[in-house]
Amino acid sequence: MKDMKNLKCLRTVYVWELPVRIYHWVNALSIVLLMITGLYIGNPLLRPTVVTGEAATNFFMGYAFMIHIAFGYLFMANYLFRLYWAFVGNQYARSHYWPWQKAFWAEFFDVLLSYLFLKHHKDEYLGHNPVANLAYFGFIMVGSVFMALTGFAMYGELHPNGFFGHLQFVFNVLGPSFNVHMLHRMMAWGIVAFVVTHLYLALRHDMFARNGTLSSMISGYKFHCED
Amino acid sequence: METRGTFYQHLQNRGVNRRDFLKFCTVMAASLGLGAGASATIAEALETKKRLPVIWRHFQECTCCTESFTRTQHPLATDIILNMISLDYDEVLMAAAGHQAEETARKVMEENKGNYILAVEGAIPTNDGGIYCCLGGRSALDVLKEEAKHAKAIIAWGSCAVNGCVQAAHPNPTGAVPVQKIITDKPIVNVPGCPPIAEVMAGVITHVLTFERLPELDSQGRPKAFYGHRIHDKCNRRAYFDAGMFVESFDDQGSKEGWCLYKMGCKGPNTYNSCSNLQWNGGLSYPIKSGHPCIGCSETGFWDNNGGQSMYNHLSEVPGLKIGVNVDTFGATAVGAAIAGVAVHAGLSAVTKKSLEKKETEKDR
Repeated sequence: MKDMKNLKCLRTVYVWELPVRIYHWVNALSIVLLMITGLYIGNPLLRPTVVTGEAATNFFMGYAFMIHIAFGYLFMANYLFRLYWAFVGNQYARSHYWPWQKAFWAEFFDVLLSYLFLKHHKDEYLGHNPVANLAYFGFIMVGSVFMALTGFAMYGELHPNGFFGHLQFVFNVLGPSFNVHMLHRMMAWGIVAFVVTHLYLALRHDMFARNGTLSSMISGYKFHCED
Repeated sequence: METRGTFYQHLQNRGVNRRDFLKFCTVMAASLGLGAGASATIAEALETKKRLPVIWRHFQECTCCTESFTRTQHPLATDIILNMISLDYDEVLMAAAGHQAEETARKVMEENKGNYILAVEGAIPTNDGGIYCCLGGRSALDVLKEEAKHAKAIIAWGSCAVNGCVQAAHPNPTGAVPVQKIITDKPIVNVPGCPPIAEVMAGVITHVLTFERLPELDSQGRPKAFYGHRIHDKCNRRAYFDAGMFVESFDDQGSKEGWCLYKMGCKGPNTYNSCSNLQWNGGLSYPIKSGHPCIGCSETGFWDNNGGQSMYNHLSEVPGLKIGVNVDTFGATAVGAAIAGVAVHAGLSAVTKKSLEKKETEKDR
């Protein structure tokens, strides 16, 4: 049990390198803008200048699409960049265990039980803990690919013989376009739920572990605490 | 129909003049998206080539494809299109019936082995040995397999033959399947739609006859010329979509002004067909132009979308739930649950932290 009152945080550790931080904030911005425009595209609740409006002067849906697709590209490029950085970055830039490895689950349950107040966790992870790892794996690593595949496949419907027309297999696997729209939207909501949990746990770790979790996403440094 | 003259000879016998004939060729060339010289190629083909023997089968369907086809409005209408090919068997259009008719089909098949076109309308039931659709005492499944074996190519007319349409919709009691699920070793042209546009059907036949090969097909086996674009992308109401001006109910001002029907469940953005450029009834109109959202009748599984409730909603409900829950409601609920969970967890965290700190202070003493 750590002595919370007299915590001595002696060492600062460079955890998040600049490219990782840039990725994080670009990703955050993309997700926010993609979600707002995506919600509008699927269910346009705005009614611009009802009755008196002219189609020639309004371009709500057009801009929503433009932003959505532009940030879709950015989101994907950013993802690919992050994937590259996993190979060349420091030890915190990649997973050391994967969900299909036994070692992953041993540590996972340890952390999960501590989140459920059933066990007191001995150490604070400097990088991602295994529960966070699983969430990032599911929602970000796999989720981003899912969003990109379904998103660009739907974009490719505009020109099925063009470049993104090669993603037609998505419709063969996931069902007709109507269904793919639904799945894309469902995953988007899933990502929002992830963001909520992510924000909460980031705050919680910052408050409880007192190791600078929140500011580390700007400075890159965390404090390594010793008893 | 023993003598197989050319199409043009046939027309001349029927009193069609050359001017009308060339007009037809030009319209066909244009609707197929071919170049300026193509109308001469079409004319030449129709003048010199023997008429193409066609067996036109009707399986599990409503015959709306034929109804559509007979209403093709191009310069040389109904009977001309019908005579361009040598239509040797077609239950709906032929006078013969019973054994006599079945005999004709068999004869055509044997005389033109490897050379005739098999046109299929309707899905094929497969449950219980295919007894749910029988012709002359034989199941549709048998007939299709036999006649497909010697066919040069198969044209699958309409959504039934292409993707099963309403017969294959949930729960599909007869086990109806489209042609492409049964025949896999023959070239198949899929011409979906419920029904397909008359001019599209005429265009496909003209292409096959003119070039003696199938039209260029997309990944789903549909002719690119007619199914290469979404209805949405050539929609006359598209400007309202981009502007964000949507009809909210069928009697609102937007509806009267002709705004976009997206929120009324329009499937134009998901549907490949020629409705918004060729239009129907000789270019008169099409559903969206008439004020009704597209139901996506040429797309696979359009009946089953959203558990069969998709015609007037755009956002799908989440499948597998007994009560209909819109995907946004579902998603927002999930996010709400996450927020509630976070709140509870935060509360518990505060309490446990307090008690831990209490213990520690006691220990310190």
